[in-house]
Amino acid sequence: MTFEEKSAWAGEYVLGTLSADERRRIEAAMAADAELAAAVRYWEEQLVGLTAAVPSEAPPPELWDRIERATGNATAPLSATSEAGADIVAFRRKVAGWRTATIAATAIAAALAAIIIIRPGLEDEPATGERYVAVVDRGGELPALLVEVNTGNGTVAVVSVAAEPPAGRSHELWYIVEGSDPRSLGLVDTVGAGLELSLDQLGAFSAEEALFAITEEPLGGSPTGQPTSSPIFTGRLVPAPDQNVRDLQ
Amino acid sequence: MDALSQPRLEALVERTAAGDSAAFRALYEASSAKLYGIALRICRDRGLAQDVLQDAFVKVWTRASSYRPEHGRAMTWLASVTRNSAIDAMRKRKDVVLGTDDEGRQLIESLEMPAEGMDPVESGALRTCLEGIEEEHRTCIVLAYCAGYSREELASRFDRPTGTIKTWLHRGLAALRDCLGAP
Repeated sequence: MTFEEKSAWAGEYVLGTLSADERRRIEAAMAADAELAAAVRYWEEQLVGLTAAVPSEAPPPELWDRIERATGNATAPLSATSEAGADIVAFRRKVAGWRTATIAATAIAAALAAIIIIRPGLEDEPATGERYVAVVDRGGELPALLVEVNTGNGTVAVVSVAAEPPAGRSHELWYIVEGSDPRSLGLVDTVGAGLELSLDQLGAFSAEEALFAITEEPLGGSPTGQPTSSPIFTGRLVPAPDQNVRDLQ
Repeated sequence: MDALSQPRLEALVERTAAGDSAAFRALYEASSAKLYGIALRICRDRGLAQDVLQDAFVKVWTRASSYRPEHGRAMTWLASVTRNSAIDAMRKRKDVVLGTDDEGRQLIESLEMPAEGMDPVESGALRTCLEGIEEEHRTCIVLAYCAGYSREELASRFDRPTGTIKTWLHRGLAALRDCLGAP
């Protein structure tokens, strides 16, 4: 592609005249083509003066509340004065972005808890501690995974109920709390399969803070030990009544 | 208020990148009216424009650390994030809603004579260079940038094949670049 063609493509991207497919194509190409990325920035900077033709208008006051909720930004920010602090902040921001997807999951988890409670009880596992359940899903769609944490016997049970990864890829489950790196809990590639973990494997456990997330990774799991893509399913824990998710298998 | 030349926007983005929620709020206060105006003109629907602005500010919060002052001003970055969200939202929609026939002329007049309370065209160079290119090319560029017209919508607006519109856009952009100066 000549510089002229690249500049025209970048210019049309900034103008917004390209189709959705072409927009995704140029965004992918920009990551690997510094000249193209510079051409996009050139047009962004040159054309921004055109915004003067558009009158300003104050958005409705409630929009800020929506943004604050969506960013999980109502809490006090962490200090970023140290390098570690900056890492934590960067991580906190990532989590904040994911958090929006988990609101619906809480509702499903509550509904699931209601379903569990009407199933016949089990006798072999007396409840000695707190039990929590999380439905790991995508924006309230069909749950992909159920997670139960039992602080009484120190177990974590994971059952995959839907959503197998595409061929040649793996679904990796992560446990995330603020202030720590995501911790891999293993691969959940097969529907119906489960993971039996101990609570110790979660490291610091906080039912309120815990976020379970599934990312799509290269076959066999993330080569870096950390997620290499954004989560496709997320879920938070809610207190569960008696019974546990293994019964659903 | 000339939001485009507020140097403090850069500082607010920097503090937002460090997780400072008060700075994020201040950034919203300083830029949301301008950005909502931009989104509204592209989306032509208040509900959609509000969704777009929310999406844009969530991206600002999560991606503030990717902003590089050496690559451009904060207002340029904020406008790009907002316009990209708005254009992506519009490209997902099947329906085509065009503005009035003289929308392009009105927008260009707004550039020539900024109404009270609007930002003047900052450099003046852009305005001068726009005046120097062919009228159809200019109208296509302004309608696309300000009002979110796609190639197909411009083709419908001008009753020309999309291939012609693509040629107009490319020629108009090349002439603008010649006039403005390459990077």
